[in-house]
Amino acid sequence: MKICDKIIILTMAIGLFASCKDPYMPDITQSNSNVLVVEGYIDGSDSTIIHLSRVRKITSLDTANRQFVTDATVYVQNESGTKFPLVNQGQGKYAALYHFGPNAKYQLIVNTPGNRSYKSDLVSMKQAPPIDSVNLRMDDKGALIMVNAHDNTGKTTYYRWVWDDTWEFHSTFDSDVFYDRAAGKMKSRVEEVYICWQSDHIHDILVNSSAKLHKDEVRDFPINHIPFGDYRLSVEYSINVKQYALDSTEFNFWTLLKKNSEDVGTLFDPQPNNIRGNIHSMTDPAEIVIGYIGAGFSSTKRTFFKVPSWFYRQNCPDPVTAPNNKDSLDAYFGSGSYEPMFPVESGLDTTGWVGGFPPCVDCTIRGTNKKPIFWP
Amino acid sequence: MTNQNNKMRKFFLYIILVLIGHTAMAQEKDLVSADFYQSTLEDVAKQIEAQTDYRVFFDQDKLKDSTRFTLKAENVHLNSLLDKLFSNTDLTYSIDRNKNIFITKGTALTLNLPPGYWHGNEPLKPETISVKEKKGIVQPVVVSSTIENRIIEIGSPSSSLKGGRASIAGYVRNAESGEELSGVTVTVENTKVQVATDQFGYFSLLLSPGRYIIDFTYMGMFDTRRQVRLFSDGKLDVDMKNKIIQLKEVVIESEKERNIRSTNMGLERLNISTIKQIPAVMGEVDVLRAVLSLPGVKSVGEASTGMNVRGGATDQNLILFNDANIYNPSHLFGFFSAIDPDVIKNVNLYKSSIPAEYGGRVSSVLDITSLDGNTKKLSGSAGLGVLTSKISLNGPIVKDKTTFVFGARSTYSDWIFKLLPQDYKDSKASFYDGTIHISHKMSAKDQLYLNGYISKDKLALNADTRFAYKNINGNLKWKHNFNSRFYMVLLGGVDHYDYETKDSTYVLDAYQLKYRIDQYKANLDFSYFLNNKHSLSFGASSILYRISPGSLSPWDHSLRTADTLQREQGLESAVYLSDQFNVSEKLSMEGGLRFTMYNFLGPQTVNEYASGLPVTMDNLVGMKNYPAGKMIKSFMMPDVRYSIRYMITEKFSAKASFNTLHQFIHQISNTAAVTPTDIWKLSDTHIKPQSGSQVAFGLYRNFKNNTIETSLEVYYKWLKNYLDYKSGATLLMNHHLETDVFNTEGKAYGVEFLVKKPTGKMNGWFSYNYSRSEIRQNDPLAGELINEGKYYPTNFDQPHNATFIGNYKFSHRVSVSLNMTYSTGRPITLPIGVYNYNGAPRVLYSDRNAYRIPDYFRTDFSLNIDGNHKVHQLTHNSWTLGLYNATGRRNAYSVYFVTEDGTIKGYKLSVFGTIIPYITFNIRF
Repeated sequence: MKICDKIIILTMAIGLFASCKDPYMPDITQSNSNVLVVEGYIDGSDSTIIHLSRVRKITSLDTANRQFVTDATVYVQNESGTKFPLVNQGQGKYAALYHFGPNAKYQLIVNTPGNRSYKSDLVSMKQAPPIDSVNLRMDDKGALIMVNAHDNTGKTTYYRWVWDDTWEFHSTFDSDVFYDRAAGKMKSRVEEVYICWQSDHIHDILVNSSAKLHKDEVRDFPINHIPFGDYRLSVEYSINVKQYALDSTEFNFWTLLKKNSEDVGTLFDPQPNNIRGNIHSMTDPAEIVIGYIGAGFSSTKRTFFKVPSWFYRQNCPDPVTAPNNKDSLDAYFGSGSYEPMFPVESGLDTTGWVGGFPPCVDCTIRGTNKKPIFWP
Repeated sequence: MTNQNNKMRKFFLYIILVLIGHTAMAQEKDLVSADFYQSTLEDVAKQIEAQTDYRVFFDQDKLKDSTRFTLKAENVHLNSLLDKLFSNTDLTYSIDRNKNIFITKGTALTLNLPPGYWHGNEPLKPETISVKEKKGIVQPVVVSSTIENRIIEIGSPSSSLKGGRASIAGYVRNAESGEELSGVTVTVENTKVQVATDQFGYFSLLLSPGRYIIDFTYMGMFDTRRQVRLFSDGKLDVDMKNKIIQLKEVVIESEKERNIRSTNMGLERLNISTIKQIPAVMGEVDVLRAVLSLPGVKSVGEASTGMNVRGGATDQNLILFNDANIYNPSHLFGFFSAIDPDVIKNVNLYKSSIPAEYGGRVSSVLDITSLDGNTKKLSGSAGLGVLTSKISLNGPIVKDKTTFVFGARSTYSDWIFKLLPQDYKDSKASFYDGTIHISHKMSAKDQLYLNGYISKDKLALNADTRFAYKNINGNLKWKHNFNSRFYMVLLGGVDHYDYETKDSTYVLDAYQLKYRIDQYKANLDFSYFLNNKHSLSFGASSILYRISPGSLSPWDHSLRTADTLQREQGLESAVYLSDQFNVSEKLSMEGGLRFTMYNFLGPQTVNEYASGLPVTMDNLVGMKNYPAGKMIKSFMMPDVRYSIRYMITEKFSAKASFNTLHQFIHQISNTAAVTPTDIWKLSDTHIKPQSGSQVAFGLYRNFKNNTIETSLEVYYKWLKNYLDYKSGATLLMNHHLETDVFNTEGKAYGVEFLVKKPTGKMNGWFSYNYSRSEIRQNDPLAGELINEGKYYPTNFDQPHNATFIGNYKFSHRVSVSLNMTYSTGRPITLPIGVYNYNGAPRVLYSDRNAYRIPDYFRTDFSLNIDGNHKVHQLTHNSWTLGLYNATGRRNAYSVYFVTEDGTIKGYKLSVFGTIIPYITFNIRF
């Protein structure tokens, strides 16, 4: 119950600003690093993408390398045995675009070297209804992005969303020049460093159920929150939401995963569970495999938000002025401490160059200056 | 100091004068002066006759020279002079209306004055005399040794005795407040007879006729004694005086040898003065947290007052407050206990041998009793703390007949929210609790008690979440004495607990959820003191449970479907018999049997599952309807309670016990700490009753005139049918909860060592215990196997635990307390690997409870300063200053890994991670 989580924060507060959390890394000796992790979705309306990896060792800053399974053969199979192979794209990614039929049942088969073979349970294709709308609402903490959907046939019930978002942002200071250290002088910029775009993707698990409502509807379900002052909403923001319909076991899988990894750290944490998905080893039934492979037709909606009223400030430090001699220019602009912006002129002489903190001048430090294809 | 002593003495005199009725009428001419030196009785008589118009009669032949008297007195009342003279002699006197004094040996002449004085069933009263001095000021004079030195005659010499034995019974009361004292040790000198007063302050002795000296000892009271001459059955009421302040080192022979002599094992007693000395979080004296400091009692962490007694779960403790069963004894979701310390007298925790009169929980009984009302005058206290303010009142409604105790606490914690981050600024929390205890003496044999308790917590988080829970309890108790050896207690009561949540975080899903439990109970208990070898208790009890396990309704513009779970009804009835059998001086045993019958009652629609298959929705084969009142499922459960004690020497005893218990109500909770949304569920067709059995063995030894008590107890305990939960279990609003739970079996064992110095300038205790607690689920049919069906440690398996609690009195006004506690960190399930899923790292968990959080260590310190001790001032003030967690150690409450902003982070959460200073102010009046 969500209510509990809140109570906790509160009780901790009542524990009188005395409660605290400190970073902590216990000495973990038990290890189970060979567990296969299968993530993906058999999608009838978009590319079917499957990621294969293995559980890695837990370290304090999660510095252990991700262990991709790059040498597997992966295919989707329907109940009558027809195979739909996926293409190994490296880094553990296997993908292909198929238009799976709505009435068949499908499963995923994974064969890894050493003759180990895994399959997911056969699942039927679930049709996700279209996303009605994605809205942005300002609240006292920032901007809340919410999704709306409904299914008049009442068949969807369990919803899951993923999204990726892209935003246009501008440098605080404009700059036409850059410092060429080798030449020891300023040169005109050829690359755009004022307007850039940046992208991110979802990190949280977003699921919702209308099972306990008397209408199969999702209204204003929060899917992302952007705090005050965040530069994602400084110029224009776009979010691409993908919606899946789930069956109840799949919904339970996601709910558990969320409970285990996101809804923890309270005074009333439930016992962590070892999550069982729908993937089994055919070679060794006792082997633990993580993952749930669902199937269906996803629906997608991209929405743009222009937020001119957004109060955004990058908190850039004040620009500095460097005397116009090579040593100074080298020191200020040659080392990357500052980016030049414009000259200080006295009569006809250039006495110095005004420079700014690089991320305030050059937007490519954070994003890309290549306009995404979907950007208007 | 002398001045103080005098004042104290005057105070006592005053009190005794005021409190004790039956004041002899005294006139100025009754005053006598005397200067006897080795005088004969004849001389004495002459002197009296010379100074007053009384005439003295005595048996010249026998008494003339029997005793010589030496005494000096001026202007004292005649009675007091005679009392003083005849103290330590076997002479007694009586005075009739015609001013004749009859001095006799042994038996006093039966006269008609004072009325009822010689009747066996009228209480004997201490003599007090008020004297008008010549100056015209009334000054009380009490010859304080009178009552102790005089021989009290019990019964009448003429009555014939059955079996040659007679009983002495009566109440022991606080002379100041009239409050009955339970647990007073009553010892008959030169015999091996020792008993303790019961919860009503009542005791009963069976002795051959003859002369005895009976000693009464009780912690915090001056010892007293009575010399009796026993003829036949009769009453003896005793008043004991408070040691209000201990100006000098006083050896209090508190509950002397009780730990050694009683057959009880694993019984922990705390009285309120001990509880108040223990430094408390934010200075809020906390009854349950004090209990948590006792050996064998644990909790999963500082945010919880949920107790785990000897490896038992938090729902396995019967928490009784004045016989009311409190389902949620905490405020602010477990931070503070909801029992007002200002109305508490003492707390008994039974963790091993549990008297047969108790049942219904498998681990322990926590019996909290409130103060008895002051029969003489109104008194009270008020306190201001960081979090709460409180008031308590205590006094007579009808003098010497009806008394009341009232306590109330309320919080003003809203200010805390001002300190919170912006998000919680609009939040509000409040709680209160109130206790009332009324005692009414209907006749010499009948006493009525009315108890009421309420506690309520409310919390509003911003505008979208609300939460409230409350306990309401009430009961009426009638105690009737058939005779001095046989009494009965009849009790009827109602216990209620409910909670309510409202959540509108997500508009479409906004809902209100309600849960409630009502319990109606009746107990009939008899206590029969057969003879010095056997005392019997027997009785019957019945509890009707009615639970509304959940009703959910949409709130605001929600689309949520309303849903209500079927109401549950169960009837738990029991009969019991137990016998305390003193086989010999050395050997004593207590055996009890309790038969419990539990019925799960209709109306109910019961899910039926295919037999031999796991209880899952897939195996649901049908549903069956049962009409109202129909017994759907019955369990007959016999319980054995047995304990035995053998005195190896006077100061050294060994005890053993075996106990079995059953429980028909389960707390459904999937979290380590007890949460406010936990529900209680009755045993039904699918959910079996829990059972527990325990064997224990202990050695008890006292040193230094019983001022140091030591004990060593070893126990082993089996638990069955404790519920655990399947992965992803739904606990609330579940119409088929049986599919989400499974039974486990548990074992717990340990050794507890305790050294205690209960009294003295420096007092306190040290305890160490080693204990383990493990459970397993090894039935594949029941659901998933946990840790491959092997035993694994419970959440509260903390093997090593050491506690020191010490108090030191610098003076009668200043004392300090130190509390140190260490325990092994509790078990926890930790991640052993990481993988990425849905755009962020996630963790793979170890076997359940395979790791532990860091060890726990905390030191608390407090300084108590009392205002001056002038007895006559209107109010008495006291200050408490303290440091909770004085070393500031960040003790882990839990360790967890969370996916935040796309990375995995490990944290250690501490609840009280800093030094918490506090100050409280209390007023007594």
